[in-house]
Amino acid sequence: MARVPRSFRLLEELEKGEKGIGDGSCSYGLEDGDDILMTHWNGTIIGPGHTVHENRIYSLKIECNENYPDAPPIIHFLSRVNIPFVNQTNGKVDPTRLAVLANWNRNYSLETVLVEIRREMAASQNRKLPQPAEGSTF
Amino acid sequence: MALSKRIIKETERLIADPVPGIQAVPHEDNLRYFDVKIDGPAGCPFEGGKFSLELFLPDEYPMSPPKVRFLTKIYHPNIDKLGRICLDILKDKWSPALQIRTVLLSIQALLSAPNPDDPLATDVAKHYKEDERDAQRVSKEWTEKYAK
Amino acid sequence: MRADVEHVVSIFGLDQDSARMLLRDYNWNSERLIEKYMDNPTEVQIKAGLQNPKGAPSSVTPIAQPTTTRRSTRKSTAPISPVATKFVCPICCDDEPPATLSLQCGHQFCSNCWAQYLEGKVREEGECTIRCMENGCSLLVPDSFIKQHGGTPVYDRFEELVMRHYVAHIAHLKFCPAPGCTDTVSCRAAATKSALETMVPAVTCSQGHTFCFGCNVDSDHRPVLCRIARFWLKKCQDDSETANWIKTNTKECTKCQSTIEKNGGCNHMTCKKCKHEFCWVCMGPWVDHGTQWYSCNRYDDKAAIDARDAQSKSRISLERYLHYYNRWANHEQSARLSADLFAKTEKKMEEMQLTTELTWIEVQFAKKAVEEVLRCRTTLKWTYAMAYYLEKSNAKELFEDNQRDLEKAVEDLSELLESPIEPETIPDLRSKMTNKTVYVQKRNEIMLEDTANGFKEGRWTWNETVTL
Repeated sequence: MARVPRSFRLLEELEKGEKGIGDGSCSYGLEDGDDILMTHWNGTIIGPGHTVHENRIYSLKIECNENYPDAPPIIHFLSRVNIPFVNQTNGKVDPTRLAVLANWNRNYSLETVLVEIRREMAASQNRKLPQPAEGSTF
Repeated sequence: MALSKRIIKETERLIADPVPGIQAVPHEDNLRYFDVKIDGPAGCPFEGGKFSLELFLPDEYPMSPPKVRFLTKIYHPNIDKLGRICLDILKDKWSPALQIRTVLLSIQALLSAPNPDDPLATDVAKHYKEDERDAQRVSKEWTEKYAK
Repeated sequence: MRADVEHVVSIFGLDQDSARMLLRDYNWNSERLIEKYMDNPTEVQIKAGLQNPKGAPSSVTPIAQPTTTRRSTRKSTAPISPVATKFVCPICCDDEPPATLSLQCGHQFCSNCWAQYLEGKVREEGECTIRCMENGCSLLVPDSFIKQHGGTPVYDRFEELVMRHYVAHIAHLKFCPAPGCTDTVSCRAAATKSALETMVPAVTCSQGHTFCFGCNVDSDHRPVLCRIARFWLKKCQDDSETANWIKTNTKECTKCQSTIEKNGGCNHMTCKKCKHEFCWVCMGPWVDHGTQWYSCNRYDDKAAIDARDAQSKSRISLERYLHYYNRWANHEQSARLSADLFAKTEKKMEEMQLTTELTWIEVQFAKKAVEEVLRCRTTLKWTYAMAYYLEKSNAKELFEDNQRDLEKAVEDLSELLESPIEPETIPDLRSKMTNKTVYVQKRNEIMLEDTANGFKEGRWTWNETVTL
């Protein structure tokens, strides 16, 4: 397989994101439509049902630096959330504590990351964790 | 993955017998990925500019078209803010008989002949349709600012 | 499709390939094709890609001039090494290809590239209009060329695509939408949009799947017109209606927050989940009410009265909707329950067949009954959607009479289906159920026939929500 360069890979992801992915519970897009380097992205996760996150909307900040997709993106939660892999002072997702980032593979995408984070929210050890007030931010 | 004979030949020829005003050099670590420079054609607002592009040949090439994008900011109705190009031969009018050089020539031709009726950057296209002279002035300004 | 092709073949003395390609270009409108072809065959052929316009193609790559002979042996010059005299495929640059092929235009490419190209177009892009690989050459690849050089799987898929193209462009044909079903249904009566204003074209394919020819709202939404069925479903999907309903009909337990629906009875509520007892009206704990069982003191507070007034206003329109919606939903749910029940009954009958003298045929009567119940519940379900939009009139009253008769008959039959099945009671049950099934079937026919006639006669008048 040919190695798709970073920019064409991100363009593909952007187009997919614009069309809408899956059931709409996760979405993402460029923070600034002028960003020709496509470094800064916004993400949104709708909290999974039947958990403490139900009906909450979480905003995230995603950075795809020049090493993406060989290296994983850097993820920050903007909305406050209590999950073990999210730093409680600045909202940064600890890449060593989230499997999808720790075992990064070039074929993973922003979609993979968001869907995995959402899945973690619904995992038995996280679904009932007490949460900060809805709408509060880091 | 072994590079196809076709890509090798095309690359050889691009280097040995380059098209005037167009330069395409493959990356050392990815021979399907090219750094491209196109000179703005004479007699249009892009004249004198040197535009950077990137081009990638997907696995299916030449059955599928190459992927091309402008890296230099450009004010053109068929090129959007991210440098994506709206050109029929890069989409449904692709023919496997086309080559990298013909694609780049077509892009160069697109610079001198913008088509505001099939826009990708709608605001620019609107500008071109309503006041072509003023739009060309902006195109020229951008060429001066970003493509020098 | 074949007949159309033969027709064109016989009129113009064309070969099969050409006729098929021309018909595709004219979206299978053979009359228009024939007319235009009479006028100017060359123009039609050029437009369809059967021949190239003179002087074409204008190509960037130096390539052989178009020749008129098929499978030209003339070597084209390869664009990448223009001085070479040996053939080099301009696509893959192979200088020793197994074979070279070209269409009438003479653009030569190696057979490997052709095969790969055809496969990509047919299998990945799902195209049945495939042009010569040369840039700017608009010559269409003939069907026989695809058959010969694309390989069997590619050609089979191509034929399927042509078939789909045909069905998509013939107004009276549709594919059965059932998953995995490849049957095509013809319904000339519903081929125009205006026909859908006076009929509901429920059709059944040869595999037994019933679907509506006019829309994809529901497999069988008789007696309601497609347009009104869509209206209704949209209304039901509208979150605000559901939210309204929840707001008006439910409250949350003050202790455990479970949602509680008050479905009648007194105001002394006991939460099913946490057993908390409270007053529906004031939401306070019931113990404060002492012995006043059926009324709450605070019921007469001014604030409470105001709140109830506001609530009742939104309730009037809501209740009308809910009246119909609840019945609509009820039939849907009952149909599901009947199906579940039948699965159990069927098992029991199979057992009975083994343990008693009854034959397989003799234990089949319940199956027929269930099928009829399911069919009628679908009808009933949609009659409520229809009634919601019907303006009050004598016609509506008659409609509702029919609806009531059918409903009563269906409920009776449903009840019979639920009665216990014992070997001794079977003969009796069978005759009862069979009779009832026949009766229900008749009521359903009457209902559907009468509504259908009503559409033809323009008997139904709609309330403003549909005519908007």
